[in-house]
Amino acid sequence: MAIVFIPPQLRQLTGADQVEVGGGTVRAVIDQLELRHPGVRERLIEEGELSPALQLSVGHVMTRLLSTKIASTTEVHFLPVIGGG
Amino acid sequence: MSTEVASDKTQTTENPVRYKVIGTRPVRHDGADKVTGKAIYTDDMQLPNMAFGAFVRSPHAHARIVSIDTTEAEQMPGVLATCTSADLPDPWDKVEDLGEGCVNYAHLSGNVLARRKALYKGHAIAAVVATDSHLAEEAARRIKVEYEPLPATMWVLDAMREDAPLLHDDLITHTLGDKPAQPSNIADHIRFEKGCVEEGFAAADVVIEREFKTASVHQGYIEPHVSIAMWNEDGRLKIWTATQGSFVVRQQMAALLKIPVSQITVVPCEIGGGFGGKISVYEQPVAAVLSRKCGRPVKIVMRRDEVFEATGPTPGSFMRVKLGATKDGKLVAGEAWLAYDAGAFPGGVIGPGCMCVFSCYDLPHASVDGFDVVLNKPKTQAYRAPGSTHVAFAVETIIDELAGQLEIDPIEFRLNNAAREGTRRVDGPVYPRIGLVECLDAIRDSDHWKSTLTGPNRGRGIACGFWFNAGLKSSVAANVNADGTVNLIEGSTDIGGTRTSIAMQLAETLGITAEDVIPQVADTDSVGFTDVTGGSRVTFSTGLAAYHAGLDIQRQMVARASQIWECDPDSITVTDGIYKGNSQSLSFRELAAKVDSIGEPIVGRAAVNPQGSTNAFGVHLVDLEVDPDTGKVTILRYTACQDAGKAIHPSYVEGQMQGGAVQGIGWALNEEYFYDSNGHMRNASFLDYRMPTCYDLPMIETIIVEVPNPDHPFGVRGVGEVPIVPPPAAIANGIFNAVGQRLFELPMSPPLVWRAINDQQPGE
Repeated sequence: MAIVFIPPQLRQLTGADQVEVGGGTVRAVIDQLELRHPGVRERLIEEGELSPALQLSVGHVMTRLLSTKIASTTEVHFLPVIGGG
Repeated sequence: MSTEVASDKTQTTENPVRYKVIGTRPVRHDGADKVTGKAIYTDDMQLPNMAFGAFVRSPHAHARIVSIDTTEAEQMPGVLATCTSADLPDPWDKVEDLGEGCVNYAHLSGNVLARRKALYKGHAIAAVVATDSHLAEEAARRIKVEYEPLPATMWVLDAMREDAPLLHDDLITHTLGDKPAQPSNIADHIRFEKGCVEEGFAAADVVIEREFKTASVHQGYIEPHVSIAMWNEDGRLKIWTATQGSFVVRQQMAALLKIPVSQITVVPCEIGGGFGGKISVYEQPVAAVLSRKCGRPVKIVMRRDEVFEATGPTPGSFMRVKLGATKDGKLVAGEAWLAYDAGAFPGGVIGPGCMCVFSCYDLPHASVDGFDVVLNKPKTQAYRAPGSTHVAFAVETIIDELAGQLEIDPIEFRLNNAAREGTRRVDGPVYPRIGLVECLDAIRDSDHWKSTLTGPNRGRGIACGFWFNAGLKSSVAANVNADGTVNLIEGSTDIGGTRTSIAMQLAETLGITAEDVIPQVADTDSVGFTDVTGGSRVTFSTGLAAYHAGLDIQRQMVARASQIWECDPDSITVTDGIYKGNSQSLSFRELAAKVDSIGEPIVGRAAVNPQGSTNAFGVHLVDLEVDPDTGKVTILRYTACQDAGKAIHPSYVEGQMQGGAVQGIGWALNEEYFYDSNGHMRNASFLDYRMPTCYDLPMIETIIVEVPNPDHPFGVRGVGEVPIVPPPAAIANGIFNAVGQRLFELPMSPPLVWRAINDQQPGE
């Protein structure tokens, strides 16, 4: 089960700050979240991909790929995108 | 030959590995060309039949464009063509990942040439190309633009007001919560929470809350933006340009001009500084359109005032930050409300600002609200550790104040609360092995900290800083020559000596000298995709690619040696570039000579995409003196300490630390976009925009700490971003130590400091 840290602005939908969800990829995890908490997906996904304002922290990997594989107990965080100088 | 010079101020932890090339200081491969003036910058390029472009720019900070009449300009002898936004394809309303951050092409296109409205003074409205640059400038003056001026907003809090003039009628705040119904100038609202802030502050013995303001500052690169575009009759477009990322320029050009990337070649010329400001395109698409219209190569060079007024500074900001601690010196809660201006289009650096604000400390309870706000200033861009310097100024000032109130040594207070392996950041992720504690220890053990500072109006300040550092995509190819040298082809444009730092990693892998690797930065047709030179990623990520290319070469060399020696490849050993097998041995150079005559060439290649942050920290220490009569602050001594993971070329690491510190000192004391009431920048030249020079500062001392990054074979973390983060806070703390006044605004220029001293009440 992945441990999904729910962004504060989404907690009105989930009612919790962390949710344990099954699913082998980030996309599957979001699908599971949507089943439990309708409305989550449209806040995170645009045109089938992660919202361009967001990136993911999966374990210690920073990625924007919804196909990123998730192992059991992996933490998933939704973060703003960053750029460097 | 490499000269091995041990850095006397490098502190390595955790079983240091002995290297032969890494950690030495060879002469940089591009050094001779640079110091003899032979290096080719874009403006050095002269192509046959080349024409010259110039821009028409808005004189208003905010105005509707009623009409543009190019007739008179086009009738001038020598004028070849004009263009406006009508000559650019209708932009895709599409957001694309540029590796380090995303870009909305509709916004980018509207920034390159304004559509309907001018959104800041200096916004490009039209352009003209002529047979010489003076003629182009004159023709630009004859393009008639009718404007309907609109009210402008220049300060981030003003732009957030409900009655503020809107820049974009359709801008709805992006938030993960409920979307507002009405448009506003607030492009994004980010929120983080950790623990329970109310509970945390309830447990605090001391709570300090302060408000801070910072002005917009520019990266101040010496070389202005310059490009040449040549759009051939066969549809192929070639661009020579000064950029931090040739592939990212190609990507942006393809999207803005709606042509395939395969029809575009971008040639990165030498670059005279970037610091984050040379990632977005500005003049490149306009030069391309003008080239297509006139059938000639077109060069556009921005003037310095254009660079200031129309390229991306770092945001101005307003911040309210609150921290609570117990009387035994433990931080228990933090709260931050941050508003950064994004300039005229959404997509500023508030995200990393929010993520960095409490990044140096282990806070059990915290919340952060951040706002990305558009206003009538040029679109902001990255500038070393974008967004982090602002919040470090706020947090490190309060940390210092808390330590003072609790009568705890400022280093001890920071050590008590420092982030370390296992600390969870406010935005969620947990740090792996990091080196902040080691940096604080190194500063505490330094000659500088142990020295005594005496004299009136003198003070000492300290501050910490953080930046994530990035990985991202890099590609290299390496060709082994018969004389034992290796040609290294890379896609990372070289801003800070990375040709050499990457070549050294290949040399170390192969067991040859740095001088035996000949690095070359190639154009986009000649090497695999490589992300921007930014985010302190090149020595880390492109270095990782060079390491893997070296292993690829080594595998091929072993296979050849097994042919020559008629033995099993698995029986061959390689140590420091010496290949041994079947009772024989050959050096890399000897083997290269033999394999050249017996088979196909040996070509190593590698492409990587590491996706973690390398998490870099620094601690700076400053001694300064305040002139009570003028408010001028003089830096007496300055030490920058940083965890580099592993310093591949210590001189370049020290140079990055010194350069970043100097830029941070300029941000702290002098630099600002000074706007008048009409939204016009009144100091758009290096004479009036005051950056520090070597005459203003002492030599910046450096201490390199090496806590190896476990995700890199040599432990590299990257170094370019962090050193700009601590200076404003360290200097503010030093000023307080000198004259007893806390300053909460940047720049801490002489008038501000003078007023603070002279407003001081008796007994304060």
